[in-house]
Amino acid sequence: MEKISTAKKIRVFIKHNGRIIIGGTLVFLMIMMAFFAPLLTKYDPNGTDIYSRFEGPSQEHFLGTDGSGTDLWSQIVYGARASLLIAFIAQIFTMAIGATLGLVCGFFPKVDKVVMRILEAINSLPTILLIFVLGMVFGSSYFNLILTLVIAGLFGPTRYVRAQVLSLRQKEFVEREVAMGAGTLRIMWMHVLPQCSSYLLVTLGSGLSSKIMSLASMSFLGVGLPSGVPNWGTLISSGQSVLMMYPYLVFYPMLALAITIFGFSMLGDGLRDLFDPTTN
Amino acid sequence: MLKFTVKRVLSAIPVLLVILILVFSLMRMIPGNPMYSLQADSNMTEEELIMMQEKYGLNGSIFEQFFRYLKNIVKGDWGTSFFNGKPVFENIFSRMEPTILITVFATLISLLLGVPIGIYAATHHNSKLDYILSSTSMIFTIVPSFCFGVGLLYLFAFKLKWFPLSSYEYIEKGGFWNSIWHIFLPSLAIGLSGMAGYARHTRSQMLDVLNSDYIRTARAKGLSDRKVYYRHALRNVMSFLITMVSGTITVNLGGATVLEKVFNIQGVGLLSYSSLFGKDYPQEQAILIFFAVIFVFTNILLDIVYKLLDPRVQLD
Repeated sequence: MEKISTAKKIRVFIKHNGRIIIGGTLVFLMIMMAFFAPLLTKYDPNGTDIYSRFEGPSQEHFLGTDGSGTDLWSQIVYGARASLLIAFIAQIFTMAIGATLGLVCGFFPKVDKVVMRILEAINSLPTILLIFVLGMVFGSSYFNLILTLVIAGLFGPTRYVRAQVLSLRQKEFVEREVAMGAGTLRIMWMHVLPQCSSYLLVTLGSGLSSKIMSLASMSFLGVGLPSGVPNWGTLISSGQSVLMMYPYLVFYPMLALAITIFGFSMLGDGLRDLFDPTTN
Repeated sequence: MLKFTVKRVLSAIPVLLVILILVFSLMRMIPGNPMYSLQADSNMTEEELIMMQEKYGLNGSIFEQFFRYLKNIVKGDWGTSFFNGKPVFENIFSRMEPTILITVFATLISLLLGVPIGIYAATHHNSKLDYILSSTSMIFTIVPSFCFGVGLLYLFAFKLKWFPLSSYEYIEKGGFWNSIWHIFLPSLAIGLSGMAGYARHTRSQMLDVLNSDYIRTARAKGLSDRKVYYRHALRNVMSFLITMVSGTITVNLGGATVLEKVFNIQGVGLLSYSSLFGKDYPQEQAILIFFAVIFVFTNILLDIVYKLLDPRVQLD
């Protein structure tokens, strides 16, 4: 048998998993940026300095300063923290709660009727308006923000897992298990969840990017995050009022947002190709 | 067909009822009472406050309020806005023109750009242009549509001055094309964000269909590529596209509300944000229900079209 050199192995791996590598690197860099924010900038993201308002990029201020003299780079670096942390937690809870609800709905028709009607009602409102309303209802705190994003995102995973349950329950091997006396919990755990795990994994990437987008849109509209927490949506929103004079105030936060979402979508697509061979 | 339509319409009633309950309770859950802020502003006495509460249907328990609201809706009275005292739907209808135009126009842009790209990419599968098209259309999905809005606003309205900076002008005032000119940039922002989805899904659906047996048969009969693609393959992709449009409508409607803020267009979106901040319950409830009804009825309509295209479809 011909020996495959390590270099070739790496080349093949890169060729097949290019998207995972690119996406993973970008996501990793963003996470590192959020984690080591204090090391990357010496400025306070909320500090003001009226003597250096609207300064263009310079040695002092890498990306310039905004209207209250706050360093833009420090705001972007610290902004990654809120976006990533909230998106991660919200996405994990969305999937966990969505999967649980889906399982329960699939097995208990009475619960199903009520829960699905509520979720359909939620789904029929435009997401952005819904998260805006929920943001107003719950007020500004990290916990409530996560709750808002979770509620707004529940429909997809719940519907998917529910559909899986309904179709699997018809299958002979599940019927056999039932005949042998397996309880609902055992069937949920042993047969249904494994079938859904690849779906949940491949929607992780797109789910995370949509959470980051929703978060940015929310802060752009002025709800959600407590005031004073640096984040990209707020930066874009405040930059837009001086767009004509200082476009860079909008450009750099958008770039950060774009890089992050690009990273997550690449990673998600790569994972989908890896775990779900049926997709093209 | 009639039975299908009736069944489909009837199935929407429970959802609409849940929407009503949901929207009503959500609005009441927003902290603060609109009457108290009114009182603080205008030095009302306690009696006047009670009178105002009665006038706007805010007295009694939340259940009493809800059933009163429901009863009034059945009578066709959706309430009046706390702020300008006009019936809520009069406010909505007077401002919905730009919102609807943006939504429809954006959906058209995503369809008209995305579907041909998808078809081309599928029929020239794995060619260079396939990769280029697929990856360029992906660029438009990496920022939320409002970011594009801000970018387009800067480039085409501030710098190049091709499009107006002034806010929306109604069709009545300047004609249809003038209005389109005013909403072109926000629609483009939303449309481009949606385009990639259409391109991607059309491509994968088309590829699926092209690999199926009946396409091979059609080719074996000696049909030209054109006929195979447009007469046989595309028709099967159509029914899939219809489902996709129904999902896009709410996304675009939501996008339109945000883009209205970017471009300062006085549509239903801005109205809804201001009524939310001002806790104008009847107005906000009406707007949310209006959007939900648009969604529910577009879905019914699309289901019927779907059924017409593909008679195998059954309601579950």
